[in-house]
Amino acid sequence: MKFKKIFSTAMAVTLAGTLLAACGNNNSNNSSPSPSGSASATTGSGTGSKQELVMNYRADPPALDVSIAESAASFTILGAISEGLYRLDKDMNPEPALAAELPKISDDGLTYTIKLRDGLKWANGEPLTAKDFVYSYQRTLDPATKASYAFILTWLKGGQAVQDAKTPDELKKAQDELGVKAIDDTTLEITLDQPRAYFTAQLAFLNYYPQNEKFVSAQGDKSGADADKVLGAGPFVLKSWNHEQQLVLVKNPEYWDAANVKLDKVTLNIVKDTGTGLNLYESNKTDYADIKGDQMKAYEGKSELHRKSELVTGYLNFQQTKVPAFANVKVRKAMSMAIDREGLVNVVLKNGSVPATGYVPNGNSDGNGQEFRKSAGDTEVAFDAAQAKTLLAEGLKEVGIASLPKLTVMGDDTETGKKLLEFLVSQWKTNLGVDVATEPLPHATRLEKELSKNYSIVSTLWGADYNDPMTWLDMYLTGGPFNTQDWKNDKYNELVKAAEKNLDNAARAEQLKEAEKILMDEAAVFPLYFRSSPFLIKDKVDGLILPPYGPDFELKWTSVK
Amino acid sequence: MDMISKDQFQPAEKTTNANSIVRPSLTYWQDAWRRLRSNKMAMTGLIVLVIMTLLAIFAPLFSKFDYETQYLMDTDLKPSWTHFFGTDDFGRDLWTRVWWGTRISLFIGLVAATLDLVIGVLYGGISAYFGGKVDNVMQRVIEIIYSIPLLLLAIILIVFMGPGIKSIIIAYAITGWVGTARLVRGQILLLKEQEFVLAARTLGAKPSRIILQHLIPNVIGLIVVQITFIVPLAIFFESFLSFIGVGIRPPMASLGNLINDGAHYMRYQPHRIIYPTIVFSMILLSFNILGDGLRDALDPKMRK
Amino acid sequence: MLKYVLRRFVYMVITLWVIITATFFLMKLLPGNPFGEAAAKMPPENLAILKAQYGLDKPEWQQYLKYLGNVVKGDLGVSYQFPTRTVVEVIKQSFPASLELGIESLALSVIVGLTLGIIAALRHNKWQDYSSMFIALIGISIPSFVVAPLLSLYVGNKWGILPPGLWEGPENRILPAIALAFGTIAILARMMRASMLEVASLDYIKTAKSKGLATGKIVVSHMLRNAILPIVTILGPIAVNVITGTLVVESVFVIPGLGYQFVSSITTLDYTMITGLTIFYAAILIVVMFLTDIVYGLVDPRIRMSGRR
Repeated sequence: MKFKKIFSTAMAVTLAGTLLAACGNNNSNNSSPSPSGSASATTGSGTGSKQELVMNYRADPPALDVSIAESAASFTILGAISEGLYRLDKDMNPEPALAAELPKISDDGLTYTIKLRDGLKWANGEPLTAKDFVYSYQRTLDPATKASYAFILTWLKGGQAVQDAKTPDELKKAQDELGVKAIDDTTLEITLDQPRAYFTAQLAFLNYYPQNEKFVSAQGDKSGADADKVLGAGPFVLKSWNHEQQLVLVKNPEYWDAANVKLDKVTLNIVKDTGTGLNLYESNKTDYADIKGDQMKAYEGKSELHRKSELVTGYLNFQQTKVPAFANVKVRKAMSMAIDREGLVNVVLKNGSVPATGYVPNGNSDGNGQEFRKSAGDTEVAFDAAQAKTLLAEGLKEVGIASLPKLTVMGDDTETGKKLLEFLVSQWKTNLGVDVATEPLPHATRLEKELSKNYSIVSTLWGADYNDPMTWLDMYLTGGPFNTQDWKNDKYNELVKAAEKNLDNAARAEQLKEAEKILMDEAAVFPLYFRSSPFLIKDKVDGLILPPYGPDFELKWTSVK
Repeated sequence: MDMISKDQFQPAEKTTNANSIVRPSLTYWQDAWRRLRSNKMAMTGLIVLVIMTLLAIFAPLFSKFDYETQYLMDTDLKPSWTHFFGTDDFGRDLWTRVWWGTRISLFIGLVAATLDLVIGVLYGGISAYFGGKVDNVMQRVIEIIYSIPLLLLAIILIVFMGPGIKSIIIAYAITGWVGTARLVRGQILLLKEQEFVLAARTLGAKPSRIILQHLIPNVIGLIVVQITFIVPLAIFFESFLSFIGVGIRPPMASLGNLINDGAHYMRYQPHRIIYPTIVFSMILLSFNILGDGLRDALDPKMRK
Repeated sequence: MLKYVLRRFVYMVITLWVIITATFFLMKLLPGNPFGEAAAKMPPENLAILKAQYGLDKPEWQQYLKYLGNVVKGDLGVSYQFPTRTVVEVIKQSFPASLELGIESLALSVIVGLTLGIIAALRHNKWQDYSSMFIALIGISIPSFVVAPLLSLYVGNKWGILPPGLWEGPENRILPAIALAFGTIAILARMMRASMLEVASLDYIKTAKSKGLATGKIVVSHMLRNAILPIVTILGPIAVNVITGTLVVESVFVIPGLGYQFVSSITTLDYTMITGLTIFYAAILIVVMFLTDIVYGLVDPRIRMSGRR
């Protein structure tokens, strides 16, 4: 859930997008990634152009350690220098990576048996075995590792017990009982606490990567701190890392699929200012730049412009304990109804983001193979200034007060964050006659105040941690750490909890849709937009995948024309 | 060598009004004003400042737009007769916002400068007057405050008190007075050795009286000059905070946040940055030129 | 003299100690905890482990004493944002760029600033004077966050003369150095002008003139040498200002310096980093002021005697 942090810090920038139109010629690679695929690959795609790429990148990864990584930056870089059992292709379908084939899933959906490829090697030449996965999961779950993403591994049977271990003995015991076993060097068996339809895709994510015990324990506290303190088994190796300046990736000759990796070298320059980033792009100092709304306008219609819609929703929360009037549904609805979301995406964001039509964003699966939003439909409170006024009057009457108390809306002090606040305040004033003050704050401070429920209205974001509606809906369970507004609905709790245990994916999806409908009907949360991010990529770059969640981009199948 | 003959000398013509004074007697301030007036650059600066101030006060009053109402149909308009400076991405009139911003920036500048002076003059005065141990301790305190980054204090205050004009002014006042205090101290160290102070002390005047009545009036020139340098510094500080993102609360405008916003748009909407920057620079330039002029005018050494 | 140096040294240490203390407790005043969302998601036991790791479970005075002890040993703690890096490592990594940029920009400002100041003084109240001062004043009238992006956009991108950003070869140094020099040029030019004018009115210059010395010789061997002295003494603090004030320029030209680190540490509530960098910056300033004082004392015996400026 750490994602939100990253999201909001650099709102202008990214996670994710649907597929790139330009991925065309990767299809063959994607569907049949045979090691002997293309013989010419080592020397480039055959056109003779230099297989080197220079990219702007918006953040220096805090730590390149599989267990403690928590930012999109770490996910992206580790995705290039390491690998999981599967790797997601351009359509976000898992295809075998370190695994030789898709998992064999037991009938009860709990046990995954996975065969690894033969002869896998770490980038330093050591053999990679099923034990490396076991070690990795045990390490992430060890409370001493302090992994904030450990919760994703508590899906393993006995995972929570490892997290909760108090003494070394307890820990050892819990780790031994953990639902992951190396049957032999190339066979891994994973047992879950409950069936999870999206688990195979999740195995492609960082948290389920292997780790080399010998190497990691030799690094101590410094694991992942520098280029020589990272070891992966992915398409690239990290050649150099000048913090806050530059990361250089070069092709990993030990990689099992090295023949299909076309890029010889990728240089990532840390560029945080998008204005300068665009200057670098336009003066051909970089092949990839993330840009902002107004910059995007100038590139409209050009083939260099790419957009990805992400699994990110921007929304408002109304704190009900601090502002008792917000406990009234009509008041919340009135506040929501007064915001013109269409105007918001066109005026404030201008980056291809679309008005929210619910809480779970477009593109998010329903856990049953369908897109959640498509079948759930538009559950959002519609914009209607006139009705908003009537509702507010009724609501206030029910609460028994003449007018709303002094309100402030808190948000990030980034450029977009501030503009969003300005827009909201103006809308409430014009459409509802309610005065709200803005309170832009540095990100960490805003987050802290939000989590300690010290706000009246907050403008915030959430990004999917995994592609399932649960990543969105379990946060509004009563008492959850991210249910900061103190909203409570018994029916909702019942539905989400039932869905958590439901083995029938179709029924589960229905339960979750019903839960979301309650959330929206109650105006418990007011989603504003589903985020989209614009990028410029030089036309010569081919096959760069921009996934909608997780890493910022996928380099394995990229080449230079 | 020849003697000079007597007849080479002639009696001078007797002037009729030998006792009358040719030049009118001028007080220190009249004299300074006279000299300032003859300094064309400084006078230009003064006039520009007066015009800017008047515009800051009256332009928003007479504009048919206000600084916050958004007209989403009129976004990013180029300058025209309806919108002299064009509009911003929310369709707000930039002319009104620029002068509102000037108002806020000047207000921040003047209030911060006043606080800064009051603290600085008193501190510097006391430190210099008592000298010795007192001075030593007070100087150490100055050194400490001087070494704490202003930005850190500003952000802590903003986190505590919420963003806004108050936090900015207080943050600046907490650290800004150090320069003034040093300046005043230096001047008073020189002055207190002079005879008139000695005379006052011999006559039994209290320290407070000596500081307030004798010493401070003598550093007033210095203080006036100092104001013209502090105000722009405070305005600059506000704009710097806007750059970091912790300035005043939107939708309120200040020159700093207008320029900073404009900088994001300069590639495609140059009017967004040009107008606020011109106003900002003219104000700063004028204050500095005026300050230089005042320094020359008030410096007794320059008196003819 | 030794006594004077010793006394100044003791003052310096006391000042540093007060700053460390003040910053440490100011940080404690800041609301919230630096673990943010991770803290909300973690079981309380894990949070306790995390806090213990950073020593946040102990009473504040114990934390303070421990911190003070570590600072003396040159250990400023581990960053919260970058859990694998210590503050000292971050400084080592990021400071060189800021320092280099600062020095380059300072050199540029000294050359341009002094030249402008000398021209202005020698042509006092003539058009050269006015135009030099005007150029100098423009420097302090336009914010660097306008100048820097303008340079990057036009010189860097549109005209393609120099790189619009990044920190690679010598060509990457020029634009940032210019953008950063803007303000300093103004200060130096004005100071040099005032100093030259002051010297020009002194008797020995008049003597030299009446002796019939060539103007060039007077300017070079009499005026410049004396006028430049006060500039040299303030160069220390100015240098510190330039080196620590690289923030805006660093973020526009995407230079991996310490200024940017400082701001991001504040916005992410990275306590150890904020405290560490504040102490680092303060220490530079205090040491430079100490050295300035010593140099002053060597140059001017009166100061040594009275023990203060």
